[in-house]
Amino acid sequence: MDNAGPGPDSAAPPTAPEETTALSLSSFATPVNLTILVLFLYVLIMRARSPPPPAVPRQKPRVFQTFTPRTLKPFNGADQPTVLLAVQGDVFDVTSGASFYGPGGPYANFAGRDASRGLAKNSFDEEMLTPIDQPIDKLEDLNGEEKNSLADWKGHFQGKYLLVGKLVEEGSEEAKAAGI
Amino acid sequence: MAEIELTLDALSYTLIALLIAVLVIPAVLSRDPDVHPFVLHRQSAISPVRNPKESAVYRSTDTPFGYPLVSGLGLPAAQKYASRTGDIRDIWKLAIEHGKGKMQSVKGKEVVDFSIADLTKHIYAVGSHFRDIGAKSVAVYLPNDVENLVVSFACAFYNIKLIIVPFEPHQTEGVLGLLKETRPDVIIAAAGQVPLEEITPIRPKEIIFVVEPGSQHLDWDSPEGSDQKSVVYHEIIKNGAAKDPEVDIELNAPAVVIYGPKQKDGSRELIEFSHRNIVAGVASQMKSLPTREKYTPNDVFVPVDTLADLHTRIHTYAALASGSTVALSSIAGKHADIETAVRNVNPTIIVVSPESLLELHIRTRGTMMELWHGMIHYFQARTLTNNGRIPKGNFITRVNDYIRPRVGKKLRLVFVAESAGSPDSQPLNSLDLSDLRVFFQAKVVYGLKHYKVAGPVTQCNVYDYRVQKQKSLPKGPGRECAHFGAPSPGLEIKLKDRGEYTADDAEGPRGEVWVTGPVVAGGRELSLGIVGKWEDEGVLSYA
Repeated sequence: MDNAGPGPDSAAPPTAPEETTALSLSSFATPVNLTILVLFLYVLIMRARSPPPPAVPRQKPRVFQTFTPRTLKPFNGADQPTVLLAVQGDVFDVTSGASFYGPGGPYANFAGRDASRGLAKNSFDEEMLTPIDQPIDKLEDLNGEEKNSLADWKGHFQGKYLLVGKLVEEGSEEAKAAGI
Repeated sequence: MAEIELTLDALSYTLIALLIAVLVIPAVLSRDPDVHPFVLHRQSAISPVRNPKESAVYRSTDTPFGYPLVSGLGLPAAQKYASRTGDIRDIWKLAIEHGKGKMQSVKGKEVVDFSIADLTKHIYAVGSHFRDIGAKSVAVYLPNDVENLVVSFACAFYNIKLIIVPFEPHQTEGVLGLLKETRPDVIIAAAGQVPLEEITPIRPKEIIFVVEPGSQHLDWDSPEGSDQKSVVYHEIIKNGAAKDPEVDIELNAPAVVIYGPKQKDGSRELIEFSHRNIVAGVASQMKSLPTREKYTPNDVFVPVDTLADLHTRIHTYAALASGSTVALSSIAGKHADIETAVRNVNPTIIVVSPESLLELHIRTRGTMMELWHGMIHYFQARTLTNNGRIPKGNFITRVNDYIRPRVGKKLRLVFVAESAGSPDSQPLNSLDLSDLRVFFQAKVVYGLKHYKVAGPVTQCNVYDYRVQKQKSLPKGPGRECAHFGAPSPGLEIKLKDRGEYTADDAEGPRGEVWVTGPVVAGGRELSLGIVGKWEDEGVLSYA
């Protein structure tokens, strides 16, 4: 930069007369100064402006659903990713325990079904399940020990999993009210 | 193009210096906001599952799902690791235990001190008098003064139903009409304030007159030409022999009766609160404040609204139970002048009506005549909204001090609440609340109250200084209203679909406000009769 000032051997001789007339202003209006000025003004404006309020994502609670044995069936982890099971009419979302209740798990039979009888009798066999075209199991034949076992299991589900719906009889008033 | 000359002259250096200054100075001078901003993004605990046609259930973050709602004072019980709910008497016992042993009464420019020990004797004396004449219900029609609280606690200690008659310093509504509905055994009123013939048709067992010290030489005992028995308060409290009767109290029985707001036909609903409701309200108000902001024995608390307002009374009880010094001003009321009510007291916490606060706001705004008033106010308001701090002021802002309301230098909390379900409520908007925080240099906490709920229904986070987009009221054109904050720890709230307002609305769940919990009178789920909306950060506002 040994050639800073305008000289006779400058690259643009026609501009030289102009520069001499407006020397006082244009000598300061160098690209460097302009850049810093713009940067300064930008920072100043940004400081003065209020920061926009941060957007809060809205929490979307799920809606309590009414199921019949037929509409509950798909929620077994295979047809639907969600795993639901019913205990005494309460439907729990056990997706977080899918390694137990999902496909391939030890309790996979209960997924999408009314698990009450199986839990009461501590048996995970297929014959513990009521076929979906039959009325919901009333569990009237359980003995005291089995009732206690069922209550313990229900307490376990209430403590660990989310109650997301209820299981009602096909064609009942509640089912009709829910539109199924 | 290759040869850009990088010459730096004097102007360049000046500009670089300025640029560094605007970058560095705010970073050096900035202070942390009073609360982490994320706290204000999640102000309620929201149930993960909701019923169809209802919003999710919202609770205070102090009492999330799986935990019980605040239902009592949690006092040490006889058994180890157990706690008991407590009753209204325990509020006074806590005041004796934690307090600095005094209560104050503001009479004009004078502040009179009363010792808690003396007032305790008065409570027993007044209570035993009630028991001796066989009173089952006592109506209190008094301004905010120590006698009001003495009578209230006397009723609690002697298991007598307390009827709180709506009181305003300049009441126009006839007291006769109010008392007709409750027919109390004893009526307590200020001497000279209520004409005797207004009360005699009620045929109470006794009328007790509270007589000012200056008029006590007059004969108040025997009204001429009347067989109505009347006695004076200052004679009753001379009985110093009475002791705590230690009666058994049924926590769920009605203990306090209040009047609902005046309906269009002039009638008022009567609402009964049990000991359990009242202590739950007091305990949840105490719990809802963050640790740094709680009532403490070092606080001086002034109710600037009348004690006939249950919300104000619950705050007062919470202050008592926390050991704060309570100062009572007899001019307190819906339109009380805040500066006069707290004169010479230097309060740290006050409860005011929205009407009083708005009148003060308009008056203070009116004195901001000079250009610098507005400029300093603008920057102080920015400190609140952008930096999340209460502007405590510096030597420059002191030129604005003379426009500030004269409420002492120590004020830190101002509680104010919108009355839901009241036909003549006075809503406050977010900008006004922000202005008032600047004027008071204190936290102004807005909330929602309802005459069937002990204490606030919802209350804003103490540190929520944000100014929101203003909402119009459903009532039609009028003032706009700020949000009311998150639910109190003593209840839970959901919105049920009503008409066009549904839980599935695009801008957030809306619907009729229903509350349930230990602080709600009657013990059942209650509709507040208003339509509300949940904002995304979990605060309630008018829909």
